Amino acid sequence: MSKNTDHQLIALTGVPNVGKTTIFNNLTGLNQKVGNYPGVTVDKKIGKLKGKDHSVRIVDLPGTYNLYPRSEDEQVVFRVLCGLQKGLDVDAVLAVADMSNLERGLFLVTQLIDLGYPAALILNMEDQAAKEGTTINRIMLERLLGIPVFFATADRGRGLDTIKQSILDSNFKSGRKLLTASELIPSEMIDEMMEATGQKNDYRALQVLKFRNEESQLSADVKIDLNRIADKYSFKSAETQSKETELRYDRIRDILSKCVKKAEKEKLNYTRKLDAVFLHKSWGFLIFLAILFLIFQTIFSWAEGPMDLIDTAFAELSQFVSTSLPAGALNDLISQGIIPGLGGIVIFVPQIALLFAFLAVLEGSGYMARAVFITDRLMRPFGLNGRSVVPLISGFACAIPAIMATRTISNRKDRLITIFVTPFMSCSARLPVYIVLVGLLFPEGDNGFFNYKGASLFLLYFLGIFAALISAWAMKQIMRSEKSGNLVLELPRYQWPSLKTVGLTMYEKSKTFVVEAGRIILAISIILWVMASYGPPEKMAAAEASVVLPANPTEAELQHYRGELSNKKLEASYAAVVGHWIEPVIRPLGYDWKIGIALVCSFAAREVFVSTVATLYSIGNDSEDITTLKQLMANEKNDQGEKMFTPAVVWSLLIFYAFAMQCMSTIAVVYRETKSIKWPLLQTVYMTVFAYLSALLVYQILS
Amino acid sequence: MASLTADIIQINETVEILDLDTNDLGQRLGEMGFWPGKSIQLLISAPFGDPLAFKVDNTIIALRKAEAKLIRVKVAITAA
Repeated sequence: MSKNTDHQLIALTGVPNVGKTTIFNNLTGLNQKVGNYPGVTVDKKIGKLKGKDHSVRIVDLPGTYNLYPRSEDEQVVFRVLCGLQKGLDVDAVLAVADMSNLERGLFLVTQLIDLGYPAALILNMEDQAAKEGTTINRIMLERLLGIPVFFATADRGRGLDTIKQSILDSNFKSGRKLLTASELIPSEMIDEMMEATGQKNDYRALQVLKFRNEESQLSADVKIDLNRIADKYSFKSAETQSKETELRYDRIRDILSKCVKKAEKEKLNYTRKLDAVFLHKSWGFLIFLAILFLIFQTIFSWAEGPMDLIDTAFAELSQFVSTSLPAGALNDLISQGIIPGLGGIVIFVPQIALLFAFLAVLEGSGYMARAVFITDRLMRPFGLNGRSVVPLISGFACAIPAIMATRTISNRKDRLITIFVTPFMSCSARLPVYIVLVGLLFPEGDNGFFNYKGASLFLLYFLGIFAALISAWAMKQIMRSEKSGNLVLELPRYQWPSLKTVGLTMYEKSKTFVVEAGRIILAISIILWVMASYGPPEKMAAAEASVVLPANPTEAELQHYRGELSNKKLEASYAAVVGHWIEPVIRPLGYDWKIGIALVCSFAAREVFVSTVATLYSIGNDSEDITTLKQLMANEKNDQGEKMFTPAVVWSLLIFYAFAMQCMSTIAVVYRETKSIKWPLLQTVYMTVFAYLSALLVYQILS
Repeated sequence: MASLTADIIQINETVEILDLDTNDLGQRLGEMGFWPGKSIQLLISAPFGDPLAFKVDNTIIALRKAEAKLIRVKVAITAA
């Protein structure tokens, strides 16, 4: 290729579960950018492979079994490879296939060759194939396909250096076509179609013709043209496709018979042994529950250390700034608004990183597909299917990527129900709220071996699942039934998850949280601080006048005066105006106006509750006396001078946060995924009412 | 030679595929490797007897019973 390789774009493609992501991570490392394809919500991952004097761009396409698009993921792959995705002109294709499963892998590879792309093929999991007694004549396969073929074991980094060099050297070849469009349709039709679509490759033109009606990137004129051609030749899409599949498989088997040798060994040995345990009729579920329980216990105990450290560091930073900067509004803004706000974001990174690490391990080890398998039957009565389990479990981390993950559910009804109920799953943004509140309930934490905090947390997560399931069931009754969904799911071989992938997932998700959610949280923290520090002037003046400093005060009297003054000022602030305004509505739940402020502000994002409360209560105290938020809250008194955060109030709050929507980003994602304002609106109203009534019930019972 | 559908074969039984339903789902199964002439083995069923996990080539593919019903198979008489 004569093209300047710095601008060269390589598409990385492959069947799901062949280690494509591991290879992508190995080739590009941290030089990755995640974006979005326009109009859809599929992640567009582009990375750079850096060489000595030039680099190459690699786009990691979603895993697909073939180029017959049925889901949004597959639609994107189809679009990019048929040259319909503007701004993404693929120069060559790097395909990945599982070495011990070549027949299915080559289906996609030969389609890519027929599309006319210069290509190269990586046969991954070489060591696995060797163990199973499969040997491949690489030179023969290269000759038969007409493209370079490499062996690799990406998990162990084996074979990747050669591949890197080969990519940098542009070692891609236009292979031998396995079949041409003229074997399937008349050649006059091909000419007409190529002219109508502007495609220079017959197979690309055929693909575009086949999927013309689902493809949004085609202009109306082209569609009309293609429909005319299809009518003229009475083109039958399904029959053509069926014939193509048959021809392709026949020829692939012919190729494989010439270059693959298989020993008659028992295959999938350890996978079958492990499946006997993980998919066992009764233990299977217990193991699944145990894994979930273990994950939450571990997050709790492992995250505690780093979180305390971050907590202390920000407290000290705030202290340092407030004493070293000249006193005044700017000092207050930084030490009481910005620093605690930032601290409130960073403190949750350990938990988010850990949760995503666990999810990456479940995915990478092959267990996630088993979770789908054993739960499918259970989910069906609720209008969900096994595929809903992955989005729902991901909902434990964050509803946003979880709702985006529902793309793999091909049935529209199942998908809508999954989207609707996923925000009930306790996401990581609820964790901070839970942690602070559960910490208030059980200051000691455990009695030796039983952890009350962990158990309460488990209960809250369980309630989320319960709410999701009964809501899904209710929706199933209401929504008119369409044709039932299906489940065609590969259970990949068990393998050790790639540490690099786990690490990159942790990094990426934490970064997204800090940058994306953090921005909103910080902005709201500052707005709140301003609202809590300033108020209607006459009220503020009256508040200041109401507190009298005695003559020649003692240190204790001075302390008391300062505290009293801050409280009175807070009660006269703009924040209080809003809090008082909504108080009548939330009083039956046991909340006062201070909690009211937190509720309103945390509608943007749940975790704002914590930073709001932090801002509100640290203002009520002497800034030199920095104590942790929990202690401040525990000492908080209500109007009657009784303890504010009684167990009834805390449980009511916990339940409210477990069920309420309280997340603007989720609403935005639901709108984008359903392409309608109806669903996010309905969902928000439903969840808020559900949360309000549940919290009301809990408070009235407990108080 | 008896013909059955794949949803009612025994665990660990290996059968040969005769043909598939011609609807879109049947077509999809074909692309996943369920192809006439090929041998498949039922490995395990999920806790409530559904879905079913089949060994096809060297992969394990899970199907619901309703989907396995689309696959007509022939049972080897010699095994009996």
